[in-house]
This record gives sequence, C-alpha cells and structure tokens, in this order.
Amino acid sequence: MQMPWTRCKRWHKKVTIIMPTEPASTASQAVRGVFATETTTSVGFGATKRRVKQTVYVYAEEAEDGMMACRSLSSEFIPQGNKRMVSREELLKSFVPAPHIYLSKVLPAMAALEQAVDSAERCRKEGHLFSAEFEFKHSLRLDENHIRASFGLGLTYLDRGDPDNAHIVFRKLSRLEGLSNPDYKHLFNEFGIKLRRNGMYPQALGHYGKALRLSPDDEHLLYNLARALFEKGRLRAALRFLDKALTISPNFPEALEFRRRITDMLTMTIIDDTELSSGSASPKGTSPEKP
Amino acid sequence: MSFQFLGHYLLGRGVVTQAQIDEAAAYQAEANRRLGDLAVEGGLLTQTQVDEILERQRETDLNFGTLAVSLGFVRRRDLDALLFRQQVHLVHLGEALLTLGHLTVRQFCDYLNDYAALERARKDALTRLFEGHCAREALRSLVDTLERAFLRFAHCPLKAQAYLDDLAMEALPLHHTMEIPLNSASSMRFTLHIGRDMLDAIGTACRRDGESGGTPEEALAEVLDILDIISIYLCSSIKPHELPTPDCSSGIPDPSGKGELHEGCLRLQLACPVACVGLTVALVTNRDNPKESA
Repeated sequence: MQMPWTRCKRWHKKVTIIMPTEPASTASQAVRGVFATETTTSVGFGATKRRVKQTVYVYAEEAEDGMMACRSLSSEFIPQGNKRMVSREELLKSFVPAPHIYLSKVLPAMAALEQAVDSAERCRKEGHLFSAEFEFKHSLRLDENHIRASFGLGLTYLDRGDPDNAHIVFRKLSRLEGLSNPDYKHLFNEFGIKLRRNGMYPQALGHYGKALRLSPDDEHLLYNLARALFEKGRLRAALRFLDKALTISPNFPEALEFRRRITDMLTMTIIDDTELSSGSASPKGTSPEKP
Repeated sequence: MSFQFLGHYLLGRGVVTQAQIDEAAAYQAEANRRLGDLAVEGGLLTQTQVDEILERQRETDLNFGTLAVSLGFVRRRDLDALLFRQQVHLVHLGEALLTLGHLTVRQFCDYLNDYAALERARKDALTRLFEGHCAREALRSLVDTLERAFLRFAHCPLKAQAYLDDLAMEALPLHHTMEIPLNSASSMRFTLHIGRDMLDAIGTACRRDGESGGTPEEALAEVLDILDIISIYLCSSIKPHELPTPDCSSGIPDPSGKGELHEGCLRLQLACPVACVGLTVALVTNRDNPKESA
C-alpha cells in the first residue's frame, strides 16, 4: 500500500532545501502524485491581446531506479500518453506537488475508471457483449493504455467471433508497456485460450509465451501452450511442454491423457512412415504426400 | 426498405424515429475519424502522403494502413497504435443512439443481440448461396471487394443481402459490365445493375466531398467516373488471386424457388441504407473480348 503524499507534502513546503539523495528503491514508499507548473501565454491581437496564466499538471510515479515516470493528465484528470522519464531534481525544478488535485480529481477519476472496467468485465462474463464493448471502449477513451480494458475489449471481440477487431487489439497489446506484472498472467492465458479457439494459433502461442515468462512453472499454462502447438501440428513441441507440465505436476490428469494421445499419434506416424518407405514407396524413392 | 441495417431494424420495430436516426448519424459523422485524418493529426503522415496513399488505393485492394507501411511512410508499431485509437473511438449507430439517450441500456443490449442474430442468419444464407459453386472463392472475393470499393470510392456501406430476383432487377435499369480474367481459359463477367437511387446516393457523397460538378451533367459524369474506378479497382484486385478454373454447369439456383435458374451465374442484391445494387456474374470459359457498357 503506497502512501502517496507523505513525502511530497514535505517537498512542497521545502522544495528547494530537501532533496533526497538516495534512489527511491531503498525507501519503503515510492512517490506517486500530481505536480503542477504555471505557464503564461499571450492570446488575441492588438487591443484584445492579453496574457493568460495556465496551470499544467503532470502525473508522476517513481520507478524502481528512482527516476520519475511522468505522464500528462487528460481533461478528465486521467494520466494519458507516453511516459517521460526524468530525474526527481528535473521534475522539481519546474513543478511543485499538487496533492489537492491528486486527492480531489485524479484519485476519484482513476477509481471511477477502474469501476467502469469492472462493470465492463461483468457485462462480458454475463454475455452482454455489446454493452461490454461499449464500456471497455469508453474506458479506453479515457486511458488508451489501460491494460485490463485492452484485454477485456480483445476478449469481447473474440467472444463475439470478430477476429479482425481482436487482431487490432492483440497487436496493440503486444506493444504495451507494463505487462510484466504477474497479475496479468490470467489475462494472457484467457486471451490465449480464446485466440486458439478462434483459430489464431500464432497469436495464441505468443500470449501463452508471455504468460509463461510471468509464471514459468504454471503447469496449466504449459498444458494450454501444448494444446495450441498440437493444433498447429507441432506434436513433438507439444509433447515437450506436456513433459514439463508433468514434471511440475505428475498427476495432472488432462496432461497425462493428452500426452498419451500425442504419443499414440507419433507412434502411428512412425509406423506409417516405415510401411511407406519399405513397402509402397514410389519408384523414385519419395514418399507419397499424406493428407 | 427491408434490408438489414441497424437503423432500418430499429425503425421497423418502432424503437426509434427517423429524426433520432438522423441525429445519431450526424453524431457518428462528427465522432468517427478516418485513419488518414488521425495520422495527419498525430504528425505521422503529411496530407501529401495521405493523398498519395488514396491515389494508390484506386489500383490495389490493400488497405490504407498496409499501404502507408509498405511505402515507408509510417512504422508498423505506429500504425498499430493508430488503428487501435481509431477502433476505440469508433462510434457505432447503436452506441450513438445510447449516448444521445434514444435507447436505454436494456434496449441497447436486447436489440443489438437480436440484430446480431439476424446478421449471422444473413451471412449463413449468403454462405449457402455460394456453397457448391466451383468458383465460390472467386465470387466471394468479388463480393467482398465490391463492398470495399463502394465504401472507398462512393462512401456507400454496401452489404450483400439476398438473391436478386427478376422484380428487383427490373428496378435497376442501368448496367455496367466488366470482365475479369481468372486464368488463360476462363474469366468472370460481372454486371452491376444500378438504379436512380444509387446514382443519387453516389452524387450526394460526391457533393459532400466537394468533388462533384455543379450541373446535373457534370454530376452524372462524376458518378460514372466513380463506377469506372470501382470496376477498374475490382479487376486489379481480383486478378492477383489464385483462383480455381471454373467448370460448373449447374449454376446457382434461386433459393426462394421463384426466379429463373441461370447457368454458371450468380445473382445477388447488395444494399446500402439508402439504395441498392444488383450484381450478376457469369463464368465464361472461352473468353470473349471484354465488354464495357454503361
């Protein structure tokens, strides 16, 4: 649990004096909050020309290496756009903490966004796929890089049998930052299952691969990966992953059954090959094409 | 009109009024952005590059993004982000009606699910129409390309609907015939049957884009130009496909059992919300000289 403003408030009061010298990774709490700066611009011409003061807010989160990841805030006070990494000193040179904005605007907006994504997920699970799409898209209009909403939208398209739109989401997801959180393992797995069921095997394999990077010893992921490989016709690769799943969980019944099935198929293939090469090979010695 | 578009469906059930549909359509037109506009706005493409891509699209069936990447104008990862943004901000008619308060959430869910089921049935019926035809891949490809061509060049979201019966064909007096070679021994001859309402729809789209001339003659010339572009686009798009040699003699029967049975021929009615188009296709095994008429 992070306490976002305990340190920033102190900086706000003595911003030119107190500057932490150690990276934040050694501290117990990472800084997270809104920082503000005022800019003055001229608008209008001639007699109507006037100077306007404008407050610009950025949302900053302290990374493990002590750098601050800064994002701009949308008009709805949701962090948006690409992260820009700056040092704490750089940030505080131009910006001052704005805890009131963080507490009164950003936190409620982010909480509302999470609730909207929760609601969209409920719609999807209850089979209200058009409502789910509407809600996920609404959330993504507020934060285009929202990981859970992106997964949700992709899953909704797959549930609806719309692989073209799912593919657009899939490609975006494959480039999103911040997917290293193990919490997303289940999303990758679910996406992989749906992709496989829609016949999108390369994409399914990619998602299982990412899930496995987050959790390399998950026997269910290994089993699912084996299924996708099997349906791509890569029986030996499927067998290798099943063996790995069974090393982790020797009594995994589905994996045992699946392994037996693949082994039988491989044995049959070997027998077929033997018969073809010794018995009915073509005059030129090449095996006939098999269906 | 009984064609399956969401607006017609909702109107038919008395859920919304025509004024509400018009309001929602205006809302969509305001909210939905074309990929080129988004790319220019994001600083990924210049207007000149957008114009070049659009010009090249007249000769190929590649979509805007694929062309932009293949021409080296944008990186694939930027295009992916752009496509995602376009998708997320895309407002469908149902969503527009919901946002404007013309549909309740309950109505939105129920009617869209019902409409989706009808759409699945329409697609199944089309699949049955193509089934068993020796050149079904070519025919399907032609219909898909025709839908894309009308959307691209006439701004008309055409959708294959049903078998084109004699009565519907009589209402479409203008013909535009072209021939696409499938291989050295065979070709596909297709005719677009167009009515006055479609000419008006294309003319309206041209005027909206500021492309059409002022006089009726200039407007008609513009519409005929677009039909030419569509035909050329179809020919160049279908040709590279690897298609099987058609060898059927049975043709496609009229599923309703009312129309004539045309040997080696497909008859299909396509429609946009305000007009329809007929498509008749004949597979020609000994290719004659291509004919063109309007």
